[in-house]
Amino acid sequence: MRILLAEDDRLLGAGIRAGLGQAGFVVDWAEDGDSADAALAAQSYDAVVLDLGLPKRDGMAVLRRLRSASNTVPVLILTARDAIADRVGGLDAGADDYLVKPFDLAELQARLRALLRRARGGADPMLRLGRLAIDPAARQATLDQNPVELSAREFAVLERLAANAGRVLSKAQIEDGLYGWGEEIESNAVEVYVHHLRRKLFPEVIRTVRGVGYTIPAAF
Amino acid sequence: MHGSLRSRLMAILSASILIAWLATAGFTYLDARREIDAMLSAGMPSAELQAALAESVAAHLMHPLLIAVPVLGLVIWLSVGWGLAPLRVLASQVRARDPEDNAPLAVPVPKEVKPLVTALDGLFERVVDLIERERRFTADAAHEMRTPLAGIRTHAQVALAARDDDERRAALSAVVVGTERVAHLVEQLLMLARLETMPVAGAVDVGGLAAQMVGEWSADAARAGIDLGVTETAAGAVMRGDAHLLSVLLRNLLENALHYVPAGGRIDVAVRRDAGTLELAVLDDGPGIPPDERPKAFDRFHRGLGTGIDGCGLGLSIVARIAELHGAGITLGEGLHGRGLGVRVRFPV
Repeated sequence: MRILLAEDDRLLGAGIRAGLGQAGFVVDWAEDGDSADAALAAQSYDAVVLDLGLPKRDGMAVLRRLRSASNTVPVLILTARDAIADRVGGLDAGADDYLVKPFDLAELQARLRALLRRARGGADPMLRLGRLAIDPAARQATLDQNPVELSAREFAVLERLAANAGRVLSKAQIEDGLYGWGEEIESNAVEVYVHHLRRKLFPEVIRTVRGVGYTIPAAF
Repeated sequence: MHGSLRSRLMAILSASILIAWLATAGFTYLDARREIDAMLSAGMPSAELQAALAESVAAHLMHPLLIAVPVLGLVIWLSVGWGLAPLRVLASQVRARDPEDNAPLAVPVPKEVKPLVTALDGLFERVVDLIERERRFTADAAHEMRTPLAGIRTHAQVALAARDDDERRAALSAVVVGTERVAHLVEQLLMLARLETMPVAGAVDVGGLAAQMVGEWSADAARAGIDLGVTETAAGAVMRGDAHLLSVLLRNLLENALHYVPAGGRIDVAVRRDAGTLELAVLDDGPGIPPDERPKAFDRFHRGLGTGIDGCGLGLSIVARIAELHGAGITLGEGLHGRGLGVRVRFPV
């Protein structure tokens, strides 16, 4: 899952990027409002973590522009100001959730998972597809209740396809969830991960749509 | 009606005296007439009548005093209360006022009270302004504390969940950096808090102090590839002040300059004596501050945006406060070669 982090404080930004990375998120980090705007225009994200006090263009302005462009990406705002007016203002401007600094990293990770769950319209924290169950919090997949050993990247591919079950995702769309800014994209990587997943789970779990991409059927 | 307190009281008093006088005069006239008529019609012997008449006239002369004084007192009592009613309305408005209300008092008041109301309105505005400034300071301080604390906490949690030693070490060194930042912020906040009053002043050799401070910072400057030096020291010039506070002032200016001036840059410190003033200047050829942003530079927690420099934004506030305690004026202008920043502090000697 690819997250845009907009935070101007270098210490905190680096911490959040590392912490979200540990939870299996791919993080792009924008240090001011203008680059956050540019990133949101250029790339689709699964969620946005937005600090309200950004230089150049503050977080509220980024949020308003995002919503006025009918972008429905889930947004969690971070604020150091605990006045109710600040939080209410952010939520009313279109944010889905907020955390007041200093926050707990585990809580940030859990709230992001909750936002992603709601965005795909589900209430069950587990992604269940027939014999397959995926736990985004534990980064663990099970087949017929038996845990399957997957690498972080393999899990990310499986999670992205399962979250979009029934839809065909292009190779580029899958790569978006695997690599952040500045990370080198290995060619063939997606093919390799899909191959591994079919071997570790079962061959029909991922269907190839020739010339388009890959899909996990909504029902097995 | 509310024109002037004096005319209001004058009107009330004249009217009440007139009424009381007319009432008693009328009453006395009628009463005396009635009594004298009765005596005359009783047919008394003339000697007896004369004595009775004298007695009656004298007694009636006393009546106005007996009646008018209490009546007048009562009327004055009531009318002074009525005359001062606007002051009571004003007092109750002031009493019921929200301390954060800065709207002018909306009470029609007599002319004599107008300056008081104007002064009160000015006070309300200053109080609200002060409350607002303090609130902004608290909010800014909260923001400045919470952000590095959030960073420390996040990195600590990353370290706890780290999958290998490199990841753990990187996270822990970020914890250390964050802790240093909070410690610096706390030091600066405490310094600002201590600057409420001026300690006892002594004689300070500012040129000597500048040379000493530049010496202390020269290693840091060399490491950053910056040419730091003293150009003038106004040898022998002393001023009244606090040596510790003046070294804090100079340290903050040097820290700022070293923060912002890139490698290869230059920082000059100069102490000059002019007629009646001693000028301490720190000049650099760094990025400087655009003229329209200079007035804001002294605000607490103000940091130049987009400079990518970590600092808490209190340095220049501390400098300004120390200058103020020494009765000094401070200006921000251009630094060296028409670029950079020049901070000039002029102390009266």
